[in-house]
Amino acid sequence: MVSRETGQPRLLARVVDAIIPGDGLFPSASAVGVQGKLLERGFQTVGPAFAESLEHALGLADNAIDMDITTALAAWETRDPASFQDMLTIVYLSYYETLPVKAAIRELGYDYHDTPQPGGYRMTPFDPTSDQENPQHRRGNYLPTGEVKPVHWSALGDLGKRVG
Amino acid sequence: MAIEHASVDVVIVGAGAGGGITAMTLAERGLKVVCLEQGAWVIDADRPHASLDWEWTRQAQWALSPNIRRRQSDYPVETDDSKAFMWNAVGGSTNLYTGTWPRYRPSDFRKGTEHGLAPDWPIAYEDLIPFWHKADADYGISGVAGDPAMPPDQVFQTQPLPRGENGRLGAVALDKLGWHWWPMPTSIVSDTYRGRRPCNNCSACFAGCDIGSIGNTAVTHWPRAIAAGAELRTNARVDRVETDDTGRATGASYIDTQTGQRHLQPASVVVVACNGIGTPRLLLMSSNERFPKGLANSSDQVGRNLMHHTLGFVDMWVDEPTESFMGAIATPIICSEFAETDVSRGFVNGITLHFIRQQGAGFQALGAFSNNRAPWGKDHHSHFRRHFGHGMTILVYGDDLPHPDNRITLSETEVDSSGLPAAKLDYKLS
Repeated sequence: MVSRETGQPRLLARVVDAIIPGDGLFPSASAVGVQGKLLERGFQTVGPAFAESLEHALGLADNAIDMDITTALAAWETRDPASFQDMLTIVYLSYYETLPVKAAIRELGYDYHDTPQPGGYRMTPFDPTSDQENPQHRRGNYLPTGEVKPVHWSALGDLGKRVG
Repeated sequence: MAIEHASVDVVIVGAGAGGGITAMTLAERGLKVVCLEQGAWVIDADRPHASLDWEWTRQAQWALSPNIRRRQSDYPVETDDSKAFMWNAVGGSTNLYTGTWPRYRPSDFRKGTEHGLAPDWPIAYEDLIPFWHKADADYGISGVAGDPAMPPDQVFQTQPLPRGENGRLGAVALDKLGWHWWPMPTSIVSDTYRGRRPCNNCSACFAGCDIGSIGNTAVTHWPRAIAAGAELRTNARVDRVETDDTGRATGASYIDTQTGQRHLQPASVVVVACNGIGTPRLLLMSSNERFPKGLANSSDQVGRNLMHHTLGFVDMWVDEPTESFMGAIATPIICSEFAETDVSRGFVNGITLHFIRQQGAGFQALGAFSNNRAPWGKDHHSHFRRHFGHGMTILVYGDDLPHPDNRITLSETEVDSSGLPAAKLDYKLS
């Protein structure tokens, strides 16, 4: 039984690693503790029924430690895509918030910060002398108040019937 | 037993954009003003911008929908519609918006003349110009004048925010198409303005702004309103507008949500400024023997014809880096090529295209706004490597049409933390 207290940590670790395995740069989900966040945030958003629904959705039983997790996840995704997506949202957001994963993103060459603040991001300010930023084109128009005229309905299909 | 306060000139229900501006304007002209707000002040340090889990927190405790965040200061909205967005606190929903600030167009006020599927407004664009100028100066708007797609009167307080690679690529593409584009006007200041700090491009605007760069009524108006003598009572949940024997509004009854104590605030004038959902909810909750259908509702129009913006998101990923994780979300550029009605394309009212950014790595892995997420399993990281930092999004932004069945009523099944009926929102895009 998956519970918040016991959480069958090894089983949950296998679940989150089946979702986000590690590779040469990125750690696996369980290596950064996503399994704990999955339970915690599931409780937070769904309530005490989350663990039960997780177990039910995966088709897990107490003795199912050797089951094929990938197959169970794929079956869940097909059977109930909405709840699967909810679970996946927790797993993905929990994974990408961890420091080792953010460090791995920086290894890819991005100036990605651990947190948005303090400091924010350095970007090139608006340059009013650049045509690329301060457009000099004269494209675009608007109808002044006095020039708004009735339009013909023929192209509107049954819109008038549905709304008017 | 309710505590009855001394009568004032005006009691305002709601301390958001409407209530804040009203309180400031009236108090600065010498009226005695009391404002009742069911939420509290938002402490900027409580916002998630400096937390490692900011992406999760902004979708949970800082969610746009009260049905997700479920704070005590909120009331539920019984609905299947996904756009019941609001924030209950001083500053209202300006605590949690992206600061996008495009104006209405002159034709928006003449839809009765144009196609008749909505009425003309009794005022015109030109009537609002002096008020827009004042509001823009108070909120602080960044942008650049001269947009050929808009009337020429708009002035800006600061220059546009950095457009970044996202905006540059969008502008190049629109130039190739020969379509309009312009830097997006926003209420996010790019330079110090009236004591507010300039935006530092942190990217977390969906949780509001923790440094005061976004024009939040709690920052832009309430300090002035209070300095002018307006009294703001927080955690004051109004449950009815009171009326006298003639049917005239005489004040507001409220519950102190911290103590449970009931209060009555008499006033010569009552202003209800609780947004498009909360205002009809309060008027309907204020029904009495004389007004069994709620206040101001002899026409049965209270709560009807609720309108949202229509929002369609188109995510795309390109070979070039887009800096998609930095910069204010909604700022790069706006395309108004299709902003006016064109029945030859089968629709009225037009749309604008807003180039926007895609926030943090978690949100991007989830497929940004379109749920084109990185697959789970062995291909997860290769997908993330190809897509992260290379995405850009176009928000297709329009206005719906009024329909009487799109409406707010009182829920018969859900209540808020004070036991008051929730709002029920029925909405179908028309």
